[in-house]
Amino acid sequence: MLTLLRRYSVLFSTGTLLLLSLALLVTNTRGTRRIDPLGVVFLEVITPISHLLTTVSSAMGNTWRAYVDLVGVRQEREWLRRRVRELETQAQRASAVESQNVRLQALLDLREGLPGQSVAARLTGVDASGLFRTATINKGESDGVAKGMAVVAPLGVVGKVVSTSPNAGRVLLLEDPSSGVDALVQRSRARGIVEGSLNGGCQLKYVKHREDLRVGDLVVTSGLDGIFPKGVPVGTIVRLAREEGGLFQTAELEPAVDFNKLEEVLVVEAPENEVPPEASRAEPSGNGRHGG
Amino acid sequence: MRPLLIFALAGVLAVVVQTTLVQRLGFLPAAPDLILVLTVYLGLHYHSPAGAVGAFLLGYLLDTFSGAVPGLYCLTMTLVFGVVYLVSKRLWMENPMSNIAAVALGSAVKVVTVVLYFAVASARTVSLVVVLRTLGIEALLALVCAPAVFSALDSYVPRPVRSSHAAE
Repeated sequence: MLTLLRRYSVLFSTGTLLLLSLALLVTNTRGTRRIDPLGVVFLEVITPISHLLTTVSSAMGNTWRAYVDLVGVRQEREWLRRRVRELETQAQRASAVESQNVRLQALLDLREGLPGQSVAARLTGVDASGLFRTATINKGESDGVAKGMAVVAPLGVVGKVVSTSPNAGRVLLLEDPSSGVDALVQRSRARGIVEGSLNGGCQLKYVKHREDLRVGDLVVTSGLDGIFPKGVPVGTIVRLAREEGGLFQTAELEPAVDFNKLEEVLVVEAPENEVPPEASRAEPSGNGRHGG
Repeated sequence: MRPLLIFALAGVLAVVVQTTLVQRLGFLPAAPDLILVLTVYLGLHYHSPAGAVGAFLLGYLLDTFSGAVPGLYCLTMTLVFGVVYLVSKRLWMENPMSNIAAVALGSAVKVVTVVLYFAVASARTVSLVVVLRTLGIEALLALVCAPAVFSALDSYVPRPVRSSHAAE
């Protein structure tokens, strides 16, 4: 028996691990609790490295751009070239600082307008797979970030925190197909649910057929899901889809936030007075539909 | 001990590249699946239970840093390891072309597993066309990166002595 086990040790261990993976997958797909024993450890170890790499690559990108900008002055004398390079670098640094100041000021303005506590965070990475839309932030439990908190940017809704470690968090972005935000059309107050799609946009669904929707309408959060503060922009209606005889109508939205250019975000605590009791008890599941 | 450290480092590096590269290089529609390339390398050269555990952990790493349900990529990478292992026990796969073929085989196993999951078990409403397109791009980029990753691993990791093909 032992000889047999030793002889087929690779197949035996692969089979055992396949069963373990299958058990993990089935439990997380069907269950309401996310079973992820190693996730926190991996998140905690890799996020600082990811943050460092982002910072270093950003600095290298700036240096490279500075070099490219200087190609045109190669014929000039060496001292003039050095001077120009210095000035270019300084100007770029100043421009980067100015641009960062504008972004942070917008974030600060947003923070002041929001009820409850909020934490400013920086995006350190995007989803490792092209099939999902999540991101990693550099703030975690030690900064007050908790599972279920809303994530917003000055332009609008970003998503929702789905897992945390002491110093990092993962955010399910609005454009992920499993996200869902209770929303209102600002003009007509028609209510629906905004869900993501893998094509990069999102959809306003479950709006009653008789409600008035128009292309160009701004969609904002309703504040009724107990996650997002009321009135935060979600997106603009770009196309309407009405099914004849159907109960509901659907609209395609262009998200208010450009997820590819996102750098800083605010993680916001659910406003206490707007939290319905069911929403405050709800736990995000591994695969179930949830806000954010 | 050395291969373990190098594979841990390679796994971390792969996931860091996958989570930051697309953001930095805006023209790429998806990131190359370097974790899959590492798993295929394990399947080709590490014919031991440690290789299987390595593949499982690489899958778990990908599960953590993607929006996937925990277990999806564990299952996928362990399957990729198993299939590549079985094929490499029966065919001579020591030249660069067959290594690339092994990565293509691993990608195919991944595509089938993920598509089956989305079609059968997932509660997400996603277009299978979009899923196939994304997985196809990831696989293509993985094929492009594979020779460089294999060559880097060959220079740093000592290959274990392989048992005879008749052993299993």
